[in-house]
Formats: sequence, structure tokens, C-alpha cells
Amino acid sequence: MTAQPASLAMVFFRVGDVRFAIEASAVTAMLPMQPDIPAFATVMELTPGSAPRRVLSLRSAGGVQSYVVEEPVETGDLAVQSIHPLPGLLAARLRIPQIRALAWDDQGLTVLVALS
Amino acid sequence: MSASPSILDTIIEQRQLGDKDIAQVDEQTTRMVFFTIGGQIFAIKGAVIREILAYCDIAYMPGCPSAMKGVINVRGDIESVISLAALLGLTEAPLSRKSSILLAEAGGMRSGLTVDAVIDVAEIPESAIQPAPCTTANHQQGIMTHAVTNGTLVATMIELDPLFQNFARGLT
Repeated sequence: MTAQPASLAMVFFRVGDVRFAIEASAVTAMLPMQPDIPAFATVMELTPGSAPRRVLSLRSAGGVQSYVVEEPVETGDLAVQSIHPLPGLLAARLRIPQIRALAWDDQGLTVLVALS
Repeated sequence: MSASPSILDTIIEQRQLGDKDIAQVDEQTTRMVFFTIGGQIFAIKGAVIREILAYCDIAYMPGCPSAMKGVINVRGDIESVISLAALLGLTEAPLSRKSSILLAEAGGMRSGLTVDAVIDVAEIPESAIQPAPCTTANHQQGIMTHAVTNGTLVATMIELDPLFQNFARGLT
């Protein structure tokens, strides 16, 4: 049995007022803004904010998918103890399967996502 | 000399026993939490309310139905928060210092429920909980089947098990 790490390397970014994080191992590239790239805001049913944008290329089961996200885009470690499964009633009604868990730290709520 | 008990002694003994009998059949009580939403009074059994929280910032969660207001951090645990007004088809009052969140657990599910104000927590005799008229869809779904009297207050009792189950199934 593998020991659980104390923290996970993550890439943090924002869409509007919501802070997201994805495992750093799933991020293959961060690129300047490009046309015709779908907005992560659309996947999350959110209205995009006004912050500068970047493109993240993310590894998924179907290959690499790129999405426009909002700055700041940062790497960092997320303490495993701050990661929580989705509350039961919320999980039962959530329309977005890419949302997998939540974390709460000194910056408030972070929504943890995974594409596969 | 042994005197047989007088009639008065017998009567006193019987009355004492009688009083004990009365004491032993004291009516059972249920703890109830009384609160308001949209000017109406409701009650939920205290056994399913883990905590009454002052209203706090609720972090928005994308991809949820509008009744799901978001999540809060309760001493390190993340709890969902649902608008009870939205589930019951009511309009909640504007936020005030009386606004509260009931942290409830029923049917294996736990969530915060926003209410306009908590007005009382009281032990209610079982006889004060009476069936309510079957006039609403909420009654038919087993959510609001009883009324509770507390002094001059009459509250509609909310059953959380069916409420949570219906919400989880997308029925509300």
C-alpha cells in the first residue's frame, strides 16, 4: 500500500470569482491566449471574468484538450488534509462531472477538477 | 400493640401511589426548532439539527440548482447550503442579523438550510404535534404532514428525510 502524500502539486486558476485547481501532472502546457479555444467558463457554466486570459492544455482520457482560463495561473501544493469530497446532496445534483472535490484553505474555497 | 391502619392512612397511601402513577405517565416530549421563512412559522425536530449557525458568507458552487446556495466551512468541514425557502416554494426575507443556517442531517445526508430567523427551541409534548390538513403538494410528498403548537405559536412541521431525498432525486 502506497503512503498518502501530505500534499498534491496543483495548478490553480480562476474563472470569474471561482478558484479552480487541477493536478499539475494533468497540465501539459500553459500558453498565451489564442483564438478558437473553448473557455473553461463554458464547461463550468460560469460567466467569464475580466482578468487576463491564458490557455491551459490539459491531459484527459481522450487526449489533450485546451481551455481558456483566467489569471492568476499559479502552481502550488495543496495539503491533502484540506481536500474534501463533495457534500452528498451537492454531489447528487451537480451537473458538471469534471468537478471532483473541494478544498478550503486561507484563500477560501477551491474547486478541484479533473477531465478524466 | 399493633394497630391496623386507619382509613385516613389508607387513603393517604392510595393518594401517594396515585400521584406516583401520574408522575410515571408524564407525556413524552420532542425537542423542536422553530423558525420563520417568508413570514411563515415552521418547525423541525431538534434530533436532526446538529447545529444552529449564524449566517455567514456562502461560497458559490458552479453547476448546482438554484436552490443550492453554495458551501460553507464549518470548523474545517465543507457543508452544502440549501435555501429552504426555494425548496418550499417560498420567498425568503432579505438577509438580516437574524438570518441563520440550520446544519441538518437526515436520511444519511447532511446540509445547511437557510432560514429567515430561529425563534425558539423548545420541548414539545407529543399531543401538541397533530396531523395537518392534506392540502399541499408538500403534504402529499410527506414533507409537511403535521402542525406543532407551542404556546400561541402554530408551526408547520417539516420532515427532512423526504425533503432531502426528493432534492437528491431532482424532484424539488
